[in-house]
Amino acid sequence: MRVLDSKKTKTIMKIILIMCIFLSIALTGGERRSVSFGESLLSKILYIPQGLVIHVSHLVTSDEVFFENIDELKTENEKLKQKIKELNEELIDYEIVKEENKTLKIERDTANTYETYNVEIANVIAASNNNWEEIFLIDKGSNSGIKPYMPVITKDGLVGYVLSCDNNTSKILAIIDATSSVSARATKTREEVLVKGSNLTKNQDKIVVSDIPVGIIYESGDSFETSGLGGIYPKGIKIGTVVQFVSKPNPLENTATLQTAVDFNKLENVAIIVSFKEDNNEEIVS
Amino acid sequence: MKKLLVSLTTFVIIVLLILMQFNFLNTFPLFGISPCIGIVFICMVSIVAGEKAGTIVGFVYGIIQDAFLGRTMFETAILYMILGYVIGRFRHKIAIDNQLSLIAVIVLSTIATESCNFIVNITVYKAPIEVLYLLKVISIEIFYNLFLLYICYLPFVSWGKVMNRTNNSYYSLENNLR
Repeated sequence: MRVLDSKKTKTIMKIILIMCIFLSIALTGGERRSVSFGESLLSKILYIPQGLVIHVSHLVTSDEVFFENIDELKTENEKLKQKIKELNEELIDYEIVKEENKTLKIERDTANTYETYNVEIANVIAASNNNWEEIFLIDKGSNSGIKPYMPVITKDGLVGYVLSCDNNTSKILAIIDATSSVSARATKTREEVLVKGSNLTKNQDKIVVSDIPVGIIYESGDSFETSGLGGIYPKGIKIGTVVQFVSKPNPLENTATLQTAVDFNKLENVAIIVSFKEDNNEEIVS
Repeated sequence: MKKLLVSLTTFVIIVLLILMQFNFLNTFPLFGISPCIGIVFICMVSIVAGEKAGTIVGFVYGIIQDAFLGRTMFETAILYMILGYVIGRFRHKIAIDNQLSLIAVIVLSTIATESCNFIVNITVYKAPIEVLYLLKVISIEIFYNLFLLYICYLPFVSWGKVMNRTNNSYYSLENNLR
């Protein structure tokens, strides 16, 4: 500290500093291809705050423009709002058309599959919560001409029948319900059998064929359709295909398990048969 | 006014629970068996608020469920009404803070409800007698309902207490006993 305090030392230091400044001017004054490390470091340190300053200044400048053009922007905003409104309306229309298209497609597919049926298309809106029942709720009721005991199908096959209906909804009892039974016929061999739902197999969309005539053995892949007997279902609707044949000591007790044609876990739309034509072209109301 | 408000809120809770049952719980069956949140709710309300509240809640829950997706009106309503009444009637023998007694209530209620459903299905709707299925339903649903009890215990019991305070029966009885 004594050394620094002395006048001589101070003068020497000042001279060295001035010389250094001149030296650095002489070194950096000419044309250079690269900057020194110190300059680079300094520029990097300054870069961030400088960037911020520039950004703020740009903002201020643009704000001025904004305030100058505020009326124009307001008009533009209104126009854009109007455009959004129009597009939203178009989107709603599009959704409606899409839904209609879906319904019409199902109707066409169903009509192509079962040409003689006059059907009403409905959406499945709920499924039963009880472990003992397989009931579906659909969004069409008596206002759409639906009545109890009308058969319900999809393009794949038989779903069940209308259990009850109010003005806008109906309950459908599925063929996989344990209390359901359908009079059926083997598509190839034409024997009449009874197809019943079972609690034990309903979760796998399987139903049981009983009352099989003695001596008849079904193989995997054999299909069954409605026989038209019983007064609910018209004949010829596909029910399912055999996945297992169980032979019992008493041949009267032989059973077969069918995989239903309809996937009840993915049931979204159904078709209710309002009326159908019989072989003699006579129209029957379900 | 307070009674009306509590009754209306209970009705809304019942509707919400039924919607939850149809739209959420039914989509997550365990080995094909769905739980029944109604049984848990009716049991809890009956234990805390007594037989009158339990009977009414059971009936309303059942009738809404029947109207929405039941096969016959009043079938579930009567079943749940009886459940609410019986549990409410014997609520003094059930300690609400004792886990074991609550588990016993849910187990017995599930067995009773599903057995009744089984009998109704066989006798009224001529369903095949599948005892194996009944055992499967009972065994799986018990666990599922106990799981629901574990989750919903606090909200259900709290609401039961609110209902009870409105009726003012259980608390007055408790005070008299003291």
